[in-house]
Amino acid sequence: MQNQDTQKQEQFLRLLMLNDKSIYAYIISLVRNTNDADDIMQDTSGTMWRKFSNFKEDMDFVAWAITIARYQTLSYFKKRKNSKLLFSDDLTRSIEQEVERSALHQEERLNALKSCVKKLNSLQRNMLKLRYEKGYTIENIGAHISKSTSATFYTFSKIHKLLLQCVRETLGKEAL
Amino acid sequence: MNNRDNDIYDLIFASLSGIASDDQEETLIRVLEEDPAARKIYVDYMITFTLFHRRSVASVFAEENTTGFAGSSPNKSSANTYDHSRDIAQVLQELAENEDTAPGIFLENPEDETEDQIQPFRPYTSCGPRPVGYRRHILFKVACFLMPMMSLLWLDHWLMNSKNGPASSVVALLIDQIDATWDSSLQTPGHDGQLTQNTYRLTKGYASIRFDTGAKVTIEAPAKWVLLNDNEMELVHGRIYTIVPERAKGFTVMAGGNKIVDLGTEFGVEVDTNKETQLHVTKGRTVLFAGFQNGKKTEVNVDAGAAKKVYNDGFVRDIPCNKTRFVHQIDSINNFVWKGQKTIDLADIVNGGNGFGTGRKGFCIMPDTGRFTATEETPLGSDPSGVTKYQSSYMRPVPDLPAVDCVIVPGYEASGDLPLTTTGLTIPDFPELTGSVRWRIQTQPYHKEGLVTLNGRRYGGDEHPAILMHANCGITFDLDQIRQNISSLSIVSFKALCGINESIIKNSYDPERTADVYVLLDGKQVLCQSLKHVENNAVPVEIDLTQGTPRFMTWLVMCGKQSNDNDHCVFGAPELILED
Repeated sequence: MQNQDTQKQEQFLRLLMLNDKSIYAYIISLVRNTNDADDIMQDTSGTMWRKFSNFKEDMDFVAWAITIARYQTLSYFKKRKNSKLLFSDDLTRSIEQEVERSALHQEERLNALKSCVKKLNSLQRNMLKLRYEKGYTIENIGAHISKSTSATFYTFSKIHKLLLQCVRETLGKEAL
Repeated sequence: MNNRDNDIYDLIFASLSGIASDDQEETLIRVLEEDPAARKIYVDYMITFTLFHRRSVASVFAEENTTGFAGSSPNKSSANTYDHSRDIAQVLQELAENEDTAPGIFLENPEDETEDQIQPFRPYTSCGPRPVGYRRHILFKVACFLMPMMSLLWLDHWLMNSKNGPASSVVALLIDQIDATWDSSLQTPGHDGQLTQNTYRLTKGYASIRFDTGAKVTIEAPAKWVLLNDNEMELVHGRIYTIVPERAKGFTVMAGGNKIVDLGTEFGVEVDTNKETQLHVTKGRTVLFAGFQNGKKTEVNVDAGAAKKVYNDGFVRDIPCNKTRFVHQIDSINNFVWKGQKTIDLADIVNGGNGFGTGRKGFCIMPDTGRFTATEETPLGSDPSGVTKYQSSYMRPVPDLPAVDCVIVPGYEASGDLPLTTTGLTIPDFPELTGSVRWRIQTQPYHKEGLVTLNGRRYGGDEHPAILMHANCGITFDLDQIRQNISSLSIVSFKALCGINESIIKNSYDPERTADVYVLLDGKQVLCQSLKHVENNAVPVEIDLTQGTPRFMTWLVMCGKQSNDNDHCVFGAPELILED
């Protein structure tokens, strides 16, 4: 029995680690706030573990996880009473489908992103590093590079655009 | 990437960063509800953001030297680029060290304090009546505390607004500037680049501002303007270029007594010192209300490709539309100022420029070493690129020119692979080469009195630039580096007129003698052109660059089966064609 429990735990952890980014991407698509997304992700992971006995081998883990994440997110919006920021059912469903589709190419996307980051110049890479590795706010980064917050914001926006274009082109090339 | 996509990206990033207004959040939701393509962009963005936020990309940053940073491209030095990242690393390092080594702060010895000075804390309790006048006493104390604070606040408010009267609301943001100097006798950008309903003057450089409605205006000094509200401005004098997204339709520029209303477009406006106004419409449509200030106005539709000049007597006339008269975009990270040019001059790139005329004349690349140097430093008599034979093929990076990946020298042994790029792309060696390398890769004639002629026309000057490459050598351009500078534009093709310099071979035409030119994209041959030593030998070359978005474009100039004497190949007017 203990062996079975351990096996189940390992299976759950393996599936979660493999797919956590897709689940998180779905959550943040709905709430657009990392603090809340982190909380919802935690609640979702807990709920997934509690309900893992319902998960069957032939089910799609991401689709199953996203269903749970959707309910957790709805609950979050109810508490916030900020319904005008909530997507319609159609839009939510559409985003779910996009995330599930993208989950199939997670590894390629990550490799493409890494190679695209390397193509940025050193200042752009450094700005990303300060933001995502060291957790600096845009304001702090602006102060370090002697730019206003708004100018720094637009610079970041441009860097993200460059990366997304590059990732799309790289994935498109590989598909050929 | 079009302006609409740009808007979507900005909205998403603003929302994720927590700085989007309620209106912007609602706009984002509306766009996602209506547009399936926008949803795809949105999910792509969220997935990419997640990969960063969950530190899946950490290994890329870990590869970099944490105390100093790599140059502008991998494996290439950045001798000619200022590396801000070193300053940042330095600051962080110093801050960290200071935390460890800062002297301790001495507190006064507690034993010095007498018991009389330390009053034990006595919390207020509700047991028992309050002293008489207690409430008045408390109010008096609060007032004494608040009054100085309020005076200071009032003084600060008065000082902030003393230049221009009552407080003005923020209507735009300064989003970028290059070498900008602002007139401090007028309003200057506030905290965080906020721009209010006020008058501004730029005396030097460039600035890019974005109105709350989304309209973006690029200003070239000297210029003076007034921000009227979140969708309207007055240009007192100077030059501006405006990009107006759909949601900011109706954006208005008052200029020299005239009014220009945008209907979803891009246009440039100039007001000169005589108060005469020019309007050049690049895209879409505008409506021009022209005439005297406070006088009768004539309403004129001005569409893309058209331009009008309004004289200070109200007379309006058609003028040629000059799409490169105005600065369309600036990017201070890459020090890039774009005037709407639709071509990138590769000769300017070889001169160390960005393709838009910033290169330096009189420089060359040594094909045997990859060195970018002034041609005066290598007099022709002792030209190290003079006839030299190499047994094996090799490639040399060109670290001083980010957009030039490397130069290539084929060897005469032809027993292996010919390296094409610093990333390791190769092709099989070319057979039967003489293997000698001659002359430098440069953009001007080799001799002061020399001429470069293709099909009867002179090249190598400002009007008709050229890149000169004598067989046997090659050069590889890094198109991704060029794309970084022109983020909202795409490179669609490469064009040039390719031939052998007629001025050199004119006394020895020989149809049996040839030089071969090859063009490769990411190592795949897309062109092989044999050029004969005859009059009018140059041929136009056009290579499509939209398929698969190639990173590397390599040109090889080879002598073929004979010697490479006088195989002076010329790429006349070599340019990359852009599209937005």
